[in-house]
Amino acid sequence: MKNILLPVIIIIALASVSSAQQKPAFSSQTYAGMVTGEATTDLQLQTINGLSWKQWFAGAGVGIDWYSFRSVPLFASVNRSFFQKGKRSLFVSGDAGVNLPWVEERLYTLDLVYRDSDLSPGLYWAGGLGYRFGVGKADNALLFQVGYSYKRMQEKVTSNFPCFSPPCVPVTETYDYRMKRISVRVGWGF
Amino acid sequence: MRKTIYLLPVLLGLLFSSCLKDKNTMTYTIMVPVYKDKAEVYANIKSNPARGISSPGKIFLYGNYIFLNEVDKGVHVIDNTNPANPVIKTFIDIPGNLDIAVKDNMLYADLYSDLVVVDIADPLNARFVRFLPQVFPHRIYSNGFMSDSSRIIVDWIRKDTTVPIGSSRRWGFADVYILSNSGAGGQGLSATGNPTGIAGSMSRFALVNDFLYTVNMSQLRSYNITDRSNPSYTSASNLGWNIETIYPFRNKLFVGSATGMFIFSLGNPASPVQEGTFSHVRSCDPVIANDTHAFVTLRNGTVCSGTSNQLDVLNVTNISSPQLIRTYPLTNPHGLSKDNNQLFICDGAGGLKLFDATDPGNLVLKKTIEGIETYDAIAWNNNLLVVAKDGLYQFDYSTPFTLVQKSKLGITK
Repeated sequence: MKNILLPVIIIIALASVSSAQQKPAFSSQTYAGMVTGEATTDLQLQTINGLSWKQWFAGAGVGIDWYSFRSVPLFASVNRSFFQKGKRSLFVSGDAGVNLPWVEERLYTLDLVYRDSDLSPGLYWAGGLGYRFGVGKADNALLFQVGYSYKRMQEKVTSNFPCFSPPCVPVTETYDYRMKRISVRVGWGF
Repeated sequence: MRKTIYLLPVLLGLLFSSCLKDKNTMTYTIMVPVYKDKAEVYANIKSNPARGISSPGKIFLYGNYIFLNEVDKGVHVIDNTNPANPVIKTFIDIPGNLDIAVKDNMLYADLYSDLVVVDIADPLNARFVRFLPQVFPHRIYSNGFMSDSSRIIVDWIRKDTTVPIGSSRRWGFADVYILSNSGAGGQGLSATGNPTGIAGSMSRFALVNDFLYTVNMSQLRSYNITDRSNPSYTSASNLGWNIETIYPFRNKLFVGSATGMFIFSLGNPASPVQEGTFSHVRSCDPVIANDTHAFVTLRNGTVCSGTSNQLDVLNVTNISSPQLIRTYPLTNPHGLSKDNNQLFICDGAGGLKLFDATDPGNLVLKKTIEGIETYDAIAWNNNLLVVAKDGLYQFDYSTPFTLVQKSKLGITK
């Protein structure tokens, strides 16, 4: 967890320093899109809010990702624009953070077997290439982005089998899910 | 250059397409059985060198000796002449053992699905006498394996295994189940009031005069033990599923199941007759009783299911129609024991609890010993034996409603 939080702290600190030195402005990006991988194609929603300065943007993001298991990525994000021409530009982005499960922890009964699950967070990271298309006044823009996204979570399933006298030892199985997807999304930024 | 840039997303997609395979794994434990020939196993059912306690199970108090089950392994023979300093004297190897009972120098024990008889006239020099097959048919399988006609499982080797699984979330059963059983001792005065043989409330064996009664998952079985070394089957009663414990009192048997308590009359000891039933929510329910009241602990967890963790006190004056007097909430009660007006309850992770049971309709909690996970107890002659997850405790309760620890035989890893 410390490893995941560290980039967030660094980026926020950098943004703060930048703010103090170069008068950066508040900036926001909100996306909707799809993630597609081996298992399925599902919806994703994200909002990233932070500071922009020259070609740079750094912020903290949160979203909902329905791929396989609903989860909430919480991450730090950095963008850099290039090939700017008028209100249009390309940008690359990198996100890193934690993937928080948001799945019902199920109690499952099969005859005399009782099972329940305990989900734990894992790593989230993503990277992509985007196109920024400025519209209207100020810095409003449509955002298009294609990239790669990884999320991980673990599930510990405990099964209690018929046991004829206590203490009874449950059976545990640990599932490790590492999900790799292509991310395609559109958004609005300012 | 510009064209190249615009094609970058496509190129990225192609680049990453080989990296889109989810990597999902499941890690589970396989239990691999270690077999021995039956002849070799029977030859080893004798007093072997003492060993440390690692997984304490049910207990049976017999004179100055405590017989403590080592789950699935056998029986520790403990010299308890001085309760402040109990000494493990020997270990009787009985693979698959969970339950024990002793009568007139004969030890009756389960060996997986079989019942074995061991001569303990000299507890330090026990010897195997005979076995009865298929007394506990529900235990023929263990961890998904079964012993065959010539071999018996004597040990298990654990192997952690990680395998890839499909791309979607699933709950697959591990290839091999762990059906781990263990027991805990408790109290219960045998029907004859014989102070030299006391079983716990978690017991599946009950001794009444010349009969041994056993409960398996669905049946109450009777065995004539007039010839102590040669039990002979006399009858069986089907009780439904999930029978857990049996407790004798005078000419009655109280049977605890996951769905209720059954009361059997021993008018004909060879063939007990069901006379009363008390149904309750699904849960596990050890029971003890006296002439007027039955004390039933209900707990959830494991196969017990349900959400109840409580003590039910019943009026059993009319055994054909037990009446609930009052329910007391508890943490996760298991075995229990009663001596006069002192009621001892092993409340699982809630510790050991001592109630004033002068008025069964108004029990008063007098003492709680926390920090130990308790399973069963035997209260006898001001000495309380308590089996806990971390060992065998003994307490003095000669001063009413106080518990003074005398000793502890801890587990060895």
